[in-house]
Amino acid sequence: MTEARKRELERTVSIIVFVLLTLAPIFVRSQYPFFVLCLAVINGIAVMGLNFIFGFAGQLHMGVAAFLGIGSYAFSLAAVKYGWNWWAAAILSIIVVGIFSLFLGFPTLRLKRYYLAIMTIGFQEITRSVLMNWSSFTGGVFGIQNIPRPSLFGLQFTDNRLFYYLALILSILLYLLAIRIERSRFGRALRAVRDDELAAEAMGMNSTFLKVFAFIWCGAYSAVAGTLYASFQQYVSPELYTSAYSFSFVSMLVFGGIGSVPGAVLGATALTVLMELLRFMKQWYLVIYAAAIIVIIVYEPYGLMGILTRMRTKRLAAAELSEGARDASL
Amino acid sequence: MGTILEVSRVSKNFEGVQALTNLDLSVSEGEIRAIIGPNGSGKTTLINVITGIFPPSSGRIIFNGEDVTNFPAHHRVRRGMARTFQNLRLFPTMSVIEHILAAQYIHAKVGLFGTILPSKEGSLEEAQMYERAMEILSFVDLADRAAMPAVSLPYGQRRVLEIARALAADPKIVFLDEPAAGLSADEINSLEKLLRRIQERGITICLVEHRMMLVMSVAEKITVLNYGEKIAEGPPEKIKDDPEVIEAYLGRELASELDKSGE
Amino acid sequence: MNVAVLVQQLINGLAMGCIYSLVALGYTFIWNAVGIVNLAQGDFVTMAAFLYAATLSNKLGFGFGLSLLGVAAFMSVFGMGAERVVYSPLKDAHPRAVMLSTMALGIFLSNLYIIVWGPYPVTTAGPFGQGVIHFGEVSILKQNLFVIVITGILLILQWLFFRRTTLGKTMRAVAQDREAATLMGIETHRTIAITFANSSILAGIAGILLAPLFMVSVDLGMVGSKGFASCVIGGFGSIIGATVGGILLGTIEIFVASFLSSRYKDAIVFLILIFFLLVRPQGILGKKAGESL
Repeated sequence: MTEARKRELERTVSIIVFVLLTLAPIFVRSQYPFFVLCLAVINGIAVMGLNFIFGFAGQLHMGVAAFLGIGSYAFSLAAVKYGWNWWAAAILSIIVVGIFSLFLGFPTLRLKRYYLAIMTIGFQEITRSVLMNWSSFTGGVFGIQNIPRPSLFGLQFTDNRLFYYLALILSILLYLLAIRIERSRFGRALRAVRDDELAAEAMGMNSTFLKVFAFIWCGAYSAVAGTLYASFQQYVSPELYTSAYSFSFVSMLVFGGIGSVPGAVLGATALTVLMELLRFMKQWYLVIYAAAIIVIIVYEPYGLMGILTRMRTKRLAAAELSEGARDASL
Repeated sequence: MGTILEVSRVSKNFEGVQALTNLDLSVSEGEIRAIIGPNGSGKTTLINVITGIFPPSSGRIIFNGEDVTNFPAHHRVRRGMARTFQNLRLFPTMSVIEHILAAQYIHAKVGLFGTILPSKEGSLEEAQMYERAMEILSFVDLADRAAMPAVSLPYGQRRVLEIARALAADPKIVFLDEPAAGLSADEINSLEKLLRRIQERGITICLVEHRMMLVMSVAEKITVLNYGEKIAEGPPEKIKDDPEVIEAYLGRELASELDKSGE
Repeated sequence: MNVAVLVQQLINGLAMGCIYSLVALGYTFIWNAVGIVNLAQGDFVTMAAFLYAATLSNKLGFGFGLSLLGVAAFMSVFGMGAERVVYSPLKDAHPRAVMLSTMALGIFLSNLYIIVWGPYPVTTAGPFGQGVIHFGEVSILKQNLFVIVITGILLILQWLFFRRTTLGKTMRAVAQDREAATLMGIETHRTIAITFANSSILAGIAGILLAPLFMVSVDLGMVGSKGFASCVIGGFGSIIGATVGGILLGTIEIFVASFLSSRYKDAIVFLILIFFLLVRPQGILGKKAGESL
């Protein structure tokens, strides 16, 4: 499939997903499904972030929830404890998570080995225990309450519906940004590093810089997701940012299609809804997810986007064939 | 013609194995230099050290008047070194043209914001990159393959694509590590022509090669390595008859290759 | 701070370090054989700990020796099965695909444990209970001494296995150069399966040694990260490095916990790991240009 065809498919998928997300609230009356919908949009932002480091740079990241958590806490502490303006606190959250990404990313990613996966597993556990134990600052197990909702141009986003659309608009903007980055020279260089790090360096690319660059973007997206998450629930506690949550993000990306921005949004939306439907299964749903990941990675490494690409290629081939047949009949 | 590359007393030691010993090499601007030697004589190691894949154990590398011995690989590329690999190292998920676009990364001027946010300079530069990519592909005769995935190219064209990718980095010197390996006689002929056309563009070529037919006809000067040391250097005619060189090849490999090239 | 306390903590640290060494060796053997990090290694440890504490010891009343054999047998079969599922189908894929599948296996297992053994931590007395030996002022938990002795014996057995047996030598050949080994007619697939079995047995023994010292819960999987940190500190891919790194890390951890902060011991150990990555990424025993491309 050529680049143009790939872009066309990506555009179609993303438009369908975002239109569905825009229309969905019309059909949702009660509070709970609405909560799930909002979570789907927020998860989508986090998974787009994960796609930078895992999809574009090829480094498995098992601690997205930790960065989300740091983002949530940085925002919440600034907004609640220090009374910062919502937007200023949100920007602070991005900066703080960016610094943490640099701190973890630079020592780990400058090595050519795949150390990031296990470093982030460790970082995940430590973040949770620090959030839990540093009670004087973080509120410990009780977390932080009364987290504000934003206001913009005199519009108060206290209404869930309004807040949902704010999150959705941010998600669309971040989607467009991710696509721009993917198609820029930085995106191409990242793919080169992912495909063959040595060859990329021999082409003059600074692989350490590029990987850290991707990791910081991942952090920034996680911070936005964390901020929205905290502000939407108006409450945070360490228990929300578990390794199971991190794993869910990886599942979403694998399910949607590693390396594909629309795949990230598609996977996040589909699995968030599915996860809620499977909630009654308690532990089993994670067991099933994990088994599904192994099956997908073996049989369909590019997930849903892979399946869609193959279907599209087949249909195009069939169309060309029938066109050819028509030409022959003339 | 000035000297573009000056390697002086370079040694490389791998966990006790001496791969290069006190090697000197001086390449003039615009020449086609061949580096030959039996397997394991340190040719690829030499290229790896010069291009900065790993540092030398001792010695200095002066490129274009600048000491680059301790520069990381990507800095050397920015200063005008490019290379190909003995075992092809194309990017498996990229199309032909994407290889060339990706390789222009280092020379792009527009910064992060100009590239990522919609901007006039950004799209202009993107268009220029595309234009130049097509120009390079036509130069190596791959323009009609631009949209194809690189992995679907036949072997010979993949080798050419690696050279094109190196050219896209706008080098002063290119190191070609066995570009003729696995090519047919016809393909070697067109490779020879390509090398000459690259030279015409003012690019110095450093060629590591086993196929003597190509080396003898295209190189202006040949450096012969054996066990990590330089045993001979000179124009092809002189190297052909050098007893030490013939000895190094155990009298067989080179002699038979020379016979072929004499045909 | 008196000397007795210092000696006591040193022994505790050594015992903890022995366990990390076993886990680290598990990583190292698989890394050397197939060039991947098995992200489920920590969950293998947890499995053995649960199997021993909840099932073999508490439920069936097996003694330690019998449990050890049972766990080792189970882990060897399990290790080979794991290789079949998460490595074998992906052996031609990129290493990151394998890492992803081992990670998924880890999640699969750790949630399965909760289903099988329940969400509450399990405790077991072990062969010595809370028994203590006194050397003058120094009093040491018998279990800790036991851990050190068993690990010592195990290390010698591993050494003999790799140096003296044909199978062990074959495995070393595969680890050094898989292609050449295939050309020499070695069945690389079989040796890789056995490598996974061997690493799983090491994780299993680490699990049953650990079980009487801690409450057994899925959180024990953290030992996996510590084992990995041991590899990095010692020098990734080096067998001696893994052993030394494990013992060093265990000792540091116990000292940090008893003299600095027990709450933040994991965070401090993690900072030490980051420091190593920055300053000496090749580890204590790694070679300078040891980074393979």
